[in-house]
Amino acid sequence: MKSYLFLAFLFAVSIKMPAAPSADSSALQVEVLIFSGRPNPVFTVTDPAEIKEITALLEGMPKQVAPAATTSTEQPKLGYRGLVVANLSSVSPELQSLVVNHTSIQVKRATVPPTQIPSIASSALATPSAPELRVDGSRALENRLLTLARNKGVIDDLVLSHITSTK
Amino acid sequence: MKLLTLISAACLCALGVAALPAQSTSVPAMTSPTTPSGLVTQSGSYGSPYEGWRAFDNNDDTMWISAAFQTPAWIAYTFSGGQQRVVSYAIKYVNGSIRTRAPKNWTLQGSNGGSWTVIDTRTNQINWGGVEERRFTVTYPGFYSQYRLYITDDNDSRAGVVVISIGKLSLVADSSSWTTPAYEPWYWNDGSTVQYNNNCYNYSNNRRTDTFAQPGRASGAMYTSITDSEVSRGAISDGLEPTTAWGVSSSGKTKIALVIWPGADFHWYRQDSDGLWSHKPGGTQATNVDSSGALITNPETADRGPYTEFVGYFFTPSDQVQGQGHANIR
Repeated sequence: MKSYLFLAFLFAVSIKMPAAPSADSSALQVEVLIFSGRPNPVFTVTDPAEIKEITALLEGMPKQVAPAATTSTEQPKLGYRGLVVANLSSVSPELQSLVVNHTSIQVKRATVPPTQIPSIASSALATPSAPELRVDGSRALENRLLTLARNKGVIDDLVLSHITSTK
Repeated sequence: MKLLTLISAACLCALGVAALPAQSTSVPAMTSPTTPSGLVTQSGSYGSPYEGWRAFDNNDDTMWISAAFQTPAWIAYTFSGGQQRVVSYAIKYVNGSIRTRAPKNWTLQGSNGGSWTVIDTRTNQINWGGVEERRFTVTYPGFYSQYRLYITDDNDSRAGVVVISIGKLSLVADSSSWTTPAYEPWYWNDGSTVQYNNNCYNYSNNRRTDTFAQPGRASGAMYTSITDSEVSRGAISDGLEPTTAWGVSSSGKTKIALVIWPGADFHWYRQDSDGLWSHKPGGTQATNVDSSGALITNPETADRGPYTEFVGYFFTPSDQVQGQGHANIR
């Protein structure tokens, strides 16, 4: 109970509606798909070295051979539904966006840099993605992004604990 | 009754006005500009005994008297419970032997927080008695949360408003339009603007705002923490009415339910016209199944994932047209 009260206090003094980040031509924009009423937590990764590490991590993952027909539509359920990453950086410019959900990663590649639209999720999920799936058996990419989210303070231990429980 | 009044169908029949379907909304007698609910504003007043709320205080011995030589003179009321569809109104003049202060030319206007829309125009209203009430049918009724009587001339021979006096302003709202929507998820599941910018609060209130609506934001009383009491307070401020699992709205309002993920988030369900429940988790699609894939017959027992606390039920003024609810949300 005390921890809830403390979290409530922290929330009360810090509550803001996390607006979608402004377009940053040198960043990865990451949205944690988790909330229903409040806007989802959103953060950016701007360190080029870190962006390179993340994209290298992705490219090192095996492609799923002959992937089954799939839809990029986010499933309507309560709680954690994965992460969406929009690549607005100059690193791997053909890489447009990722949808990360546990061991499955959907990759959308583009020939031109994406333009910013209000919701990161809307850019990655609104249209059918190319049928490229990567398999992240150890969930290394998901864990890395969630750790970044926690370190940047956009999710707290309460939320992280829920996400961990869904794995 | 010196009060901005929503008159029931029974009252309308007694007054000889065309009967409307039953509705139960009422506005209590005002005891200040903001109590017990809503907000009374005016262009000006002759002094503190004659402020605008006196036209709504259910007392025939008091009145609103405008500031002198101020054109236009207007008096407005903002409903705390969201939009109302006012179909007629009445002005009661009670200034005795002084007849010049009765309104002559005016418009009735409606607004939802932005610009004002003229919904009725009256000109050359002369020969008022010392105590007389005149009733008017609104020419272009619509759903508005704010109504304003906008007066450009009185019965004084001098041009413009010299002084306006109004003993009572009554509004008659037809709330028979409240209708519970059907489960029609395709409106919300467009995979684009509607889906991504409207959340569970939008869906449960059946009102598209494209703002990811938050309880209390429209009414200036947004929750400050994710607790039962705070989110409920915000919703009530937006005009939602608490009820029970067995509650039935006599005016046809839609029942919705609030659940909480303590300290993290809130979520809303709505009961559709078929009696089953549906919801829209954030920017995802609207659905009528819970987190286990089961049809939602009871939000209290549905699989709600981390939203473990069931808070309670509320009524919201809705419409059968998807996205066209009338709660005051943003």
